[in-house]
Amino acid sequence: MQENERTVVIRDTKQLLRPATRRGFLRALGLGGTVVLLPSVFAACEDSFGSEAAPEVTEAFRRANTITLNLNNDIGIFNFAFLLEQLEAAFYEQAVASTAFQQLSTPEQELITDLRNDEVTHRQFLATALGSAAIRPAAFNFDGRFASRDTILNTALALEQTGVAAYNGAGNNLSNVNNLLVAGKIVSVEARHAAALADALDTTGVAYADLTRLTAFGADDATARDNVLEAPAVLPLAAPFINTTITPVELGALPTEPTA
Amino acid sequence: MSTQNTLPLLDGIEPEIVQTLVTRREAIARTSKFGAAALAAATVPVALAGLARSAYGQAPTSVLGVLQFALLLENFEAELYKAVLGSSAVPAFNAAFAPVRATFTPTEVATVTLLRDHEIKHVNFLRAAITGAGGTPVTYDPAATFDFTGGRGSRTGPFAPATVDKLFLLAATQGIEDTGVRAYKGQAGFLLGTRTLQEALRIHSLEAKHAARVRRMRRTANPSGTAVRYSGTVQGEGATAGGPLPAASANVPQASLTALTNAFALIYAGEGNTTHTVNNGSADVALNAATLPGLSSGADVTLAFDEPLTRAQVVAIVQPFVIPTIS
Repeated sequence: MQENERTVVIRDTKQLLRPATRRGFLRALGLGGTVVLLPSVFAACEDSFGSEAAPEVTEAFRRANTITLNLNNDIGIFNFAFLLEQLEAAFYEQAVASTAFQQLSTPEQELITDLRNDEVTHRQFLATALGSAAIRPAAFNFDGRFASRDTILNTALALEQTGVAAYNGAGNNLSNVNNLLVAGKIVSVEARHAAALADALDTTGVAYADLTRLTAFGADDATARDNVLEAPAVLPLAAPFINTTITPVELGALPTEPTA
Repeated sequence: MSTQNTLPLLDGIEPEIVQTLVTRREAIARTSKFGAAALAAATVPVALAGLARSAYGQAPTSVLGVLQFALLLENFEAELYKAVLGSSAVPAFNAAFAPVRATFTPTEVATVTLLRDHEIKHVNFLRAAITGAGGTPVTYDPAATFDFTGGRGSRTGPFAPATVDKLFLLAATQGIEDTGVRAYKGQAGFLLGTRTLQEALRIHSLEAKHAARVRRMRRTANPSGTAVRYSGTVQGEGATAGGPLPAASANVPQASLTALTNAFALIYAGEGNTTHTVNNGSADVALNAATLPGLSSGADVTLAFDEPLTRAQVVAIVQPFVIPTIS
């Protein structure tokens, strides 16, 4: 990639932990730059397209399948939200159709069905709002997550807590007050979902908002502040479910041709 | 966007708003982690463009004003839960709630204890935030400030059944938590471009988690009352969005149920709105979620979006429980 201080290419999740990359990321964010997240970021938990793959395969894959999220404008932030809503909606659509769904109690079936409806609504709303600026539909991999009632509820819980963290983290980066309000209308629904799922799995009476269990999502119990994560910290949480080996995620083009 | 664009933008904004914007711009410059220059060049004019009265439906208020308002609401919640649990500094409050407290299961005690602890932490956090922003947090004397019966000091108001009847208390608690969610949502726009925004958002989503748990407790107690969802979300608007209330009884007179129904009508006013406005970078676009393509069969889209309340709407809801007039 050409040296350009306004473009930061993230090739794997570990890179986000390196101080130089983080500085570059923040600088790009502050200067109105572009952050490019290569598919390998999303495939971080898979082997077939990791750094071990043949270079020419990896490169072809990168060129054909790259997400560009300009996190310094509202369109990019909404596209980031759209990706997460696609993920949630796809999970619930498959969950209600799974065999294990029948293991759920009647209240739990109502819960998961409501969540399916809400997340599909969010997905369709953002798709319509973004229009031609929307990223293309992603493909997802939920292998093993529909094995039982517990895997369904626990996976759903992780996805919803991720959503709360992502929206809370994105709020500061939105520039338009109407867009902020829409994000606010959605994030509290995600929070209700998360609490409902935690409560469905709970016997203690506190899991609905036990922030000591949510430090991985950025929550702080000492000050009773809920989840918050910036986008680079959210994406590794979503990565295990984003399927880049069967149906590649193809979500836009690089602003600059990578030279590997 | 260049700074030259700022002046025409300001021309389009109502005069009394401009002073707030200038103050906010200075605040942004002080707190920016990216430096004042970058934000002045990029973020601020964009933020200004979104802050016209027409865009948000309320006159803007200062960050300190938002924080002080939130502090009053959090104080109210914290003092209520202290009273319910018998840990209030006001002996009369503890005594009043003793009957309902005696009916709690250990799990219910754990739930309300977490509610109380979170609201106390929010009070402390907001006090520190106000001090940090150069203000002086208001200290509320609970006995002189709050009347949980809704009697503004009589302590015999229509919500007194909350001290003896668990289902009435839970219904009121749901209304209080949902009011908190809607209040923060209504104020968030005034914090755009400040670091305070993220903190408010994090409190806002936690209040939603609280509300969801209370809704699930109510639904579990009344499984046929499907207007209260196991998903913790809010269906429809107005009094029905509060869900069904317990029947009148010796402990819960009809007048109290009517008062709670009327409170729900205020608390959930406009919650059934399905039209949401997004800005695509050049224009505001209103989208009706109810008519989107690809919705799930049978979906009620009012569950998927929570709506804001204005400060005036929130004041109308909480004033009966606050003895001094809220200014």
